[in-house]
Amino acid sequence: MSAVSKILSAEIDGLDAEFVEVEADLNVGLHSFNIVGLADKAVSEAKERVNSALKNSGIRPPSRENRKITVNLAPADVKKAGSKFDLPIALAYLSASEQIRPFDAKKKIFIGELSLDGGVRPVSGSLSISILAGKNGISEVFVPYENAAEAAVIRSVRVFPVRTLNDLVAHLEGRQMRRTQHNNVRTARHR
Amino acid sequence: MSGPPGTGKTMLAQALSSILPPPSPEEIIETTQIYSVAGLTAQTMPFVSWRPFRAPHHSASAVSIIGGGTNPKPGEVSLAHRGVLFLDEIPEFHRDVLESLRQPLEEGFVRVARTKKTVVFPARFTLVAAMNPCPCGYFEDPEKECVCTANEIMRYQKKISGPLLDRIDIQIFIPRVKVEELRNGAEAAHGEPKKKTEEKIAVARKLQENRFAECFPRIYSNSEMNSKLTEKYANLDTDAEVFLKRALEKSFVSPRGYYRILKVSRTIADLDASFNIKKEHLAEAFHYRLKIEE
Repeated sequence: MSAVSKILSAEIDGLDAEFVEVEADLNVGLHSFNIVGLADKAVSEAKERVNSALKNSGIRPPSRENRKITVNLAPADVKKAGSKFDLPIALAYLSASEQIRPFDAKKKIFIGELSLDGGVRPVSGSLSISILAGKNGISEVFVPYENAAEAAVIRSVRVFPVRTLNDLVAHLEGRQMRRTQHNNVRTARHR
Repeated sequence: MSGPPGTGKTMLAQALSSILPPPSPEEIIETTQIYSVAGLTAQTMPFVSWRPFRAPHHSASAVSIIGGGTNPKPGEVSLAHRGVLFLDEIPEFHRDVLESLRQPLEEGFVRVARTKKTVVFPARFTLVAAMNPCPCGYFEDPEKECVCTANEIMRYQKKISGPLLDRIDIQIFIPRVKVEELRNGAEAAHGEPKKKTEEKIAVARKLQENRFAECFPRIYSNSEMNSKLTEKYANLDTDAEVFLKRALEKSFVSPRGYYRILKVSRTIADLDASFNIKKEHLAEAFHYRLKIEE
C-alpha cells in the first residue's frame, strides 16, 4: 500500500542542531505503534499526542488502523529527547498512510510539539535548527508559531509559523498557503 | 565588592548592566541561540536584544550554574553570555560551584563533558560578586562595632579561594553612606550623570571595536585579549613604565595578574580616550587589585 516516508527534523546537541530523519512505515499485522531510535520518554509519548491530534483534526488516526506502524528516528544511535518530534512524526505517518497529497519533503525541515486538539505548541532551540537549515541548503523551516520570530533571524531560509496541524496540511497540499515570518535583528527594539 | 550590609552593593551591580552599550547584531544572535536552546524565548520577546543580567541564588548547584544534565543545557554562566553574572553573598555559594567558575572566567566558554558526548557553551560574562567583610557585616566599619572573632573573619574570607580572587580584576570596598547625607540629597552632588557615563563607555567600546577589527576569531573588548595582544596594545608612556617596574618590585603579582592589570589599565585609558596608558591609569588598575582583606 505504501512506501516508507521520510521527513526531516533536528535534535539539539549542546547549542547546535543535528539532522534527524523521521521515517514511518505501515505493515500488515495487528495494530501497534512503535517509535524506535533511542527515544526518551517524551518522544515515546508522542504516539499518544499524535493519535489524538490527528483524530481531533478530522484525520483517521493510527489507532483506527489495523496495521503495524513503525517510526524510526535516524541516525538510530543518537539520543533523542523532548517533544519537538511530534509534528514530523505526524507528517511521516500521514505520508506513509497516504492521507496527505504527496509533497516535496527534501528541502523542508519540521519541528513542533502537538497538543491533543491538533494545535502546535512551542519548543526550544528553533534558532539553532534554522541555523542548521541555512548552512545545509534546506530552504523551508516549519516551526511553531511562538518560535517563528527567533528562527526568522536567519536570512537564507524561509520560516513558516505553524499554528495547527490542519493549517500545515493545507499548506503542504497547496490548498492554503501560509505567510512566512520576517525578522530583522538589526531593527530589533532594545529594552 | 565588599562592604557592610545595606550600602548598595546589589544596587550597583544591577546598575552596571544598564550602562553597558547595547549588543551588536552578531552578539544578539549568539545570546538568542543560547536562550532558544534553554527554551527561554517567546513570540513577544524573540531576541535577547539587551545585556543579560543573571543573579542566581546562592543555593544554586554546579550544574545549574555551569550547565549540564543528561541532555546538556546551558547554565547561568552561558545565560549571562555578553552580560553580567551577579553573585550576591558570594561566600554563601557552595565551594565547588565557585571553583567551577574558574575555567569559564579564563576561557570564555564551558566544556561540559558527559559519558556520551562533550558539548561547548559560550560563557563570556562579566562576573560581579558582593560580600560582607565578615559574618556580622561590620568589620572595619568606622561606627558600628564588629562582633566577630578573628578566627570567624578569617574563615569567612577564606571561603573565596586565592585562585578565584586572582581572577577578579576590580576589588573594591563599598563604605557605608550616612543616612543623614542621603536625606540631604548629597548623592546628587557626587558623581557624574548617567548620560555622560554612557557616552564615555560607548566611546571606549568603539575604540576597542576598531582596535580588534582585524582580529580573528572576532573579539569585542579588552577583556578578551590574550597575552600577546595585551603586550601589543598596552602602550605605556615612560612615566607609566617606571611606575610599573617599581610597583612590580614592591608587591606580589602573579603572571596572570600582571596581564590583567595591563588590560584593566588599557580599559581605563580607553575611558579617558587616551592612546597611551598613563601612570594614573596604571595606578588605578593596581589599586583595584588590592586584596579585600588588606
